[in-house]
Amino acid sequence: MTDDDGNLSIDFLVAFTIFMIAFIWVATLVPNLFIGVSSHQIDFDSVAYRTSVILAEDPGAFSTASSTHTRWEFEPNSGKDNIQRFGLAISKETPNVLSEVKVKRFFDNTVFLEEDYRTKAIFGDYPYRFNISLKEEGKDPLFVGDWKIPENYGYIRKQVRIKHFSNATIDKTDVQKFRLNNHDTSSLIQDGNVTEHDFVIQINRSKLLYDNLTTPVINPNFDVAYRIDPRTEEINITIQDFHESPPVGAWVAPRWAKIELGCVTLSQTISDEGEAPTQLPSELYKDYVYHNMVQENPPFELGLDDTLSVIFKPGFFPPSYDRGSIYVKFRFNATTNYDGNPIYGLQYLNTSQSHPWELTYNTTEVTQPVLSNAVMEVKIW
Amino acid sequence: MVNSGGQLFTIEGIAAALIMLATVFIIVNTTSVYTPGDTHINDMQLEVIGTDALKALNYPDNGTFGKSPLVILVENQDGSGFYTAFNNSLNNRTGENRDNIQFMANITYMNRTGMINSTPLNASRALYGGEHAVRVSQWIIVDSYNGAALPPYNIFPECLSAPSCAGKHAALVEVLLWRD
Repeated sequence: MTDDDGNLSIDFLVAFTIFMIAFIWVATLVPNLFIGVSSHQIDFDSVAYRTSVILAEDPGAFSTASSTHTRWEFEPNSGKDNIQRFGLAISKETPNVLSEVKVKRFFDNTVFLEEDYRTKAIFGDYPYRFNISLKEEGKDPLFVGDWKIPENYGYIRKQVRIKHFSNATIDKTDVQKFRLNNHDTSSLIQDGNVTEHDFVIQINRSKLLYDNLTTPVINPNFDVAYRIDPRTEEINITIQDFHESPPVGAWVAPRWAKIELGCVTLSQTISDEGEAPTQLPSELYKDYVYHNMVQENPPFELGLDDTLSVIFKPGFFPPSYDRGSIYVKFRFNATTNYDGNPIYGLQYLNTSQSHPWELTYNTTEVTQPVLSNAVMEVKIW
Repeated sequence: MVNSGGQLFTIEGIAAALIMLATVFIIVNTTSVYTPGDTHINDMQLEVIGTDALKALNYPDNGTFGKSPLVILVENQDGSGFYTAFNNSLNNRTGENRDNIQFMANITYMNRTGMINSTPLNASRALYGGEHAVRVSQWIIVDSYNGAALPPYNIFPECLSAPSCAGKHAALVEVLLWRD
């Protein structure tokens, strides 16, 4: 007779199998249990928070090693790999104040791919999906990323302000106030007899960037949010009212005159030490003159009801200079009138006897930068 | 001979095990475990939104005006203006639907006798005590005597006469935020 010591029973085998199956099942279940707790909420929310702070409170970073630019928003599409980090703030000192230029560039998803946003704004090893949107008061919302958003995602919302460009208009009141015409017709200079009228606009970088915005000084910590910065912002100056004739000293051409804008030249000084301005090469700095808001290069004839503008796009001027002035010189030719006679004694826009018209923080002459309200949402999953 | 004392009968055992496992599975799947780690996320989101809304209100609209909308609202004791501006900013979203965050705002300041006082600014609805609210704040500098108003008055009621509390005063705008 065989001894049954040390044998395994069928019951034991069955029980052990069931236990093992149950154990494996539970073991595979446990990590899934905690997904709801850890991964989705904590990680996604913190990534969304990080991304929103990078965008709203950081001006961005940029590799200057292989680029001539100093700011990421001016880097051409071909050099987008030089951008290290997107950041929409105008400076570190003014969190939540965004730059109009950066916003426009960031939301241009024809240039930047999802991968660019992942590596330059979201970061992290995991390939997060995202939807970043921004809505400015009174405008359509902008967004990048996936529009199909799942049920469970990390979310943060930030209230921001967007800084807008200044703009200026030179009209009859400026001409009267600053005497921007050739008013001296009686002295020996006799500048009333010229046929060429030079009119100069001065953009004084030193004053715009380093002088006080207001007198008395209000909180200078926020100055950068209200500065007119010719290096990074659009400068828009329009001359109009060519048909106006003020009571004291006509500054405009009479109806029978024919005026031509001969040429516009740019020159600059790079310090405040009073050196002579050097001319900027016209082959590099071009296409900034607008005739009735349409870009047109001089010479062209200027009608009495026309407007004449100079619009310098952000990044137009050499970014490395923050001192000195930029001078925009218009040369108006009053060559012949419609009778065929030369025009002498014509009073016109002319700053040879007065200080150039200057872009300043004076609100009567220049519409100052304003901050508009906007909201930004970041969703990560 | 082997008897059946103390033995688990196989079929019943399997059935019982399956029932237990199924029960555990169903229970675990139908309840979400709400850990303390989760609550801080909602709090953080409220805090970020509230801080940003106050910060955005505290930037002057342009450089020459100097005073921020928040300072102007406090100086004029314009509670309804504050409600409109803050609520608009707080519940604004990029999509069509607006958020629904409730708030209650106070201004805290030191009065003439050195005591800390607090006066209400405005609230979207009263706080009953059961709400789980977070607190955000923003320091502002205000001209404590509003001479431009007609009739001129003191912003802080505890200041008795105009000269004694004219000048710049620091005040803290505190807002409690919660969701219904």
